[in-house]
Amino acid sequence: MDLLVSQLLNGLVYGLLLFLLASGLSLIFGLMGVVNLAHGSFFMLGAFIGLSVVSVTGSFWWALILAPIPVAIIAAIIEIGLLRHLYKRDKVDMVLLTFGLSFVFTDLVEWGWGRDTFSLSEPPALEDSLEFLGGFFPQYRLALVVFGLAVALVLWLVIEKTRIGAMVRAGIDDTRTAMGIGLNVPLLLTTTFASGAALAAMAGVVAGPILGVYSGVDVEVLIPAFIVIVIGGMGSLKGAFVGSLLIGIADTFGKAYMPEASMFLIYATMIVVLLARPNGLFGQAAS
Amino acid sequence: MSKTKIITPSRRAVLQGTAAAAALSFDASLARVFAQTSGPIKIGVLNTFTKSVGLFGETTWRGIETYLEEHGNKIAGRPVQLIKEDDEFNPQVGLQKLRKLVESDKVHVVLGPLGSHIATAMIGYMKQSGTPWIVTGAGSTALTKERMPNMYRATLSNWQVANPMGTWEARNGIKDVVVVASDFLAGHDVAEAFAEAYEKGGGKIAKQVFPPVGTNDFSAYITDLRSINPGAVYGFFAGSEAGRFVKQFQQFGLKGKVKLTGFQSMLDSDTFPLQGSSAVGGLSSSIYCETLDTPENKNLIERYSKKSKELPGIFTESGYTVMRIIDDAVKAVGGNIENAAEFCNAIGKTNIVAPRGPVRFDPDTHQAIQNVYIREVHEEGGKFVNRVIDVVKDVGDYPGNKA
Amino acid sequence: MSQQQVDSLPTRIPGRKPLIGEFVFFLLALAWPFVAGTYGTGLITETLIFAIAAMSLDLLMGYSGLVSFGHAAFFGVGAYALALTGMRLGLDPWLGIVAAIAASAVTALVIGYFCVRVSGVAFIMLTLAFAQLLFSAAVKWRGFSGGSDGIGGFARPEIAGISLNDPLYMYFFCLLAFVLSLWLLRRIISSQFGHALIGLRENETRMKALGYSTDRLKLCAFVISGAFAGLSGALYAIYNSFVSPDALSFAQSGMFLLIVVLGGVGSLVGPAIGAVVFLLMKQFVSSHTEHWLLIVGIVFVCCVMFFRSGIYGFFKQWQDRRART
Repeated sequence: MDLLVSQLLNGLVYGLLLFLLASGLSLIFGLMGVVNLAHGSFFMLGAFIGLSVVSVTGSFWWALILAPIPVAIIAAIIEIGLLRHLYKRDKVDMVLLTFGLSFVFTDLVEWGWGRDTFSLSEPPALEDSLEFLGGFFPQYRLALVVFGLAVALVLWLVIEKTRIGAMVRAGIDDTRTAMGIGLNVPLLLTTTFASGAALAAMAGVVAGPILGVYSGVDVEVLIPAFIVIVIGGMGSLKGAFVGSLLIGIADTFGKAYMPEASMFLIYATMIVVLLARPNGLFGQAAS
Repeated sequence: MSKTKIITPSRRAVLQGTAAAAALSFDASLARVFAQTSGPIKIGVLNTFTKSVGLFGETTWRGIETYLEEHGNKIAGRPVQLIKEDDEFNPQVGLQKLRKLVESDKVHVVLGPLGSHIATAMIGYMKQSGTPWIVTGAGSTALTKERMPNMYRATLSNWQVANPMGTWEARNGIKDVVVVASDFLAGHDVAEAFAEAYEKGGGKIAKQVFPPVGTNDFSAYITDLRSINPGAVYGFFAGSEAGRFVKQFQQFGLKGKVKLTGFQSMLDSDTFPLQGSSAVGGLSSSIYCETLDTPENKNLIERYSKKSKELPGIFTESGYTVMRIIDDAVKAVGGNIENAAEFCNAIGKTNIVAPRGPVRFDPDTHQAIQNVYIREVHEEGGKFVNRVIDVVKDVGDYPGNKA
Repeated sequence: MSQQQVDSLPTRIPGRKPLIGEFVFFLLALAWPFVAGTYGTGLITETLIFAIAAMSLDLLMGYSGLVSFGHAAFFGVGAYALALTGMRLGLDPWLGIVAAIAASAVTALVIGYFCVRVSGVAFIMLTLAFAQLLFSAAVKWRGFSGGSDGIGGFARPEIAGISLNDPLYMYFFCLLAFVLSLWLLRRIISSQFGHALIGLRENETRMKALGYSTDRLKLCAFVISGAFAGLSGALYAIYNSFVSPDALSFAQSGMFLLIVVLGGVGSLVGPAIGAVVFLLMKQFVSSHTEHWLLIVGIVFVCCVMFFRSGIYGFFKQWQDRRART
């Protein structure tokens, strides 16, 4: 297989994984102005719960479907019980709250499952490697690409073409007016937060076979996710998509060919974007 | 790339100063001979029990427990109290836990650590403290160059295990090699030792790659490897990273096309559960092989089978044998482990046949001298095991350390 | 910050009750090493070092209203500066400490220059990004920084003929540094510059209207904060005889943030208390249960939700309420 194509595919895999995580993060920020530092925790929770579902049912697919549900519920409880009371306060307090919650989740995960590095296996149907274009590529990763693109499409359709999506967009663009025309903003906020968490949890399950499942994974995916939404634009789905792919490909090529400089360059890019276009490539300021 | 750091005048002074201080404090510890020879023997186990290499700490611990269970949890008639501390594969944390073990728990001997970078960070403190220190796991070649009177390394030195492999691969028709190693002290240490021997034997190093510690997705590196298509890849990874690398190696179609070779921790009893059939055919060099047909090893296998359904790996054997060494040494000083100087001298006189084979210590550098086995992974009746295909006997410390 | 939050921040009124409490603390601090063993002394030494860094962050957060998620940058630069000047240049440790403070101050100048241009969430992200930038450089630039292995192997230095290898002397050296830092920071706060900073925190627009160059004010706060964080980093490097990229990590920045909020933003002494509480909690809790992170997390969440002015603020309000009845 052509080297370029292979590495591009690798970059696509990682990028789409990041997209699953960053999309929720971006929407949460766009609508609620919350920099959710617990987002990585939702990812991690999803992966661990997925692990348990697999050990009980033996099926990866059930894990994918079921794991996001408890995570979404936990997120909803957090929003209603804690986050909601902080909307009137300085945005910083919400950042600090989510930060504190991330510690709680890390410990709970270690308590529940232990501090080892666990392996989430691919579904048996996708265990092999496909030979095409003269090379081998694991089926699971190819499936991930398809899945990630499908999720991106569905999200785009929901946001752009449905009433709920219109409400979310209205809420992002101008919260006060949205409330003025009778949108149930509190419900919308809870739903958005929970949905973002569910997306993150799903990402955790999907990433399991590739990244592994362990209690430090939350920070390891959170920081790249932030880089993505800073560069792509906070609150923009398109930005999250473009940003994820960019970072995914840059990280992959950088690792293999510019190991010394790649991380540094990515952070430097993040800084430049923050200074030149604080709202990212596609984003708009949160209302 | 030179391994030795540039020694500036002040650094030399600092090192000399600490050596002098260490000598002084060691003499001071001679005074630490109190009459209490009946209380428990406190052994501090500083290892990594979490993160990707946590499984090696766990198996080392189980090896220690296996020995104690075999001997009624007593050493030289005194009960043993093990104190377990996790360094999280982080030197900063390791130092904190070390201080706790030495100052708060007042252990008689410190075992560990696993990470070479942690061991290096511990040197200054251990020189100062003079507490007996038996290294298990950390392989940094330069560690024994320090010649600390209170430190012995009962496990391998990176050079000791990587060097023979380099020679062997050059001699056995492997034309070029890509070296892939985890980007920390041990990784570079191993890579350098292997490359030096391999190139001296006439081989060609095509590329050296160092993925960051904690990498779990090696797709970018493996794809690059594929385009280079060397005769073999020589890898150094530990714990779950080793598991993932070997598995992904197969997933991207390299198994069978490029020979998989590596350091002992890459292809070991402990990593087989993660790797499954992707490990078959892989070659590694090690100080131990679980299928060694000796009475000592058979004994270990039998006792360990009560704890685990897997065969003992290199780290299990390490834990088991270090306890044997301590046991013999404490017996030699009549149970008086409190006499640190005598205890350390007794360790130096070790000359045993462990499950891994004969073990004794270099009189100058305190490095264990032992056999190095070239092993190949076989599948036998649904299980995966290493089988010895070649032996290099009595391998000592890096000659540069002896100079 | 909202007006409500600003009102609840404690303000310093010199010459009042706090003085007795401080005197007691000082006596306790002097007596501690003779009461506790080597290990306990080492613990509080480490606490004092972190307290200096926490107070420096409070200058930014509590007094200037700048919430930095990248404070480890200045701390880490100070630590590395000490280690590198000692190892590579053979500098005397006194000079090493000065170099560390200078290096961190310069780092703060550069980072601050860019950060003061943005606000809100962008500011948080930018401080984080700069810290990560330095972190990744430290990890990858093995030849310079030792990579993820860090730099070690240097003994604690001698200062004025006294070896800091002795835990007792190291303790008093750090205590001295802490007291000096606290005193200096207090003087800065109560100076005209300090008052301008507080004005900035309360109402930036008004300050601008009054003719203050708010960017310049913020930048000064950054540099001073960075300098003290650098001192803390240098002491940390000496204490451990070791430096690794952890000192620059997000986790380290997070820890400082935690300590400041826990202790009480905007009170200077609060973060110092926060450091003590945090490190003692870690020691005490982790010897009884493995779940100290959970407890810290819960306490922190409670602080953010209910006790926004931290431990110090809580006791001050309690004291005020008692005084009123």
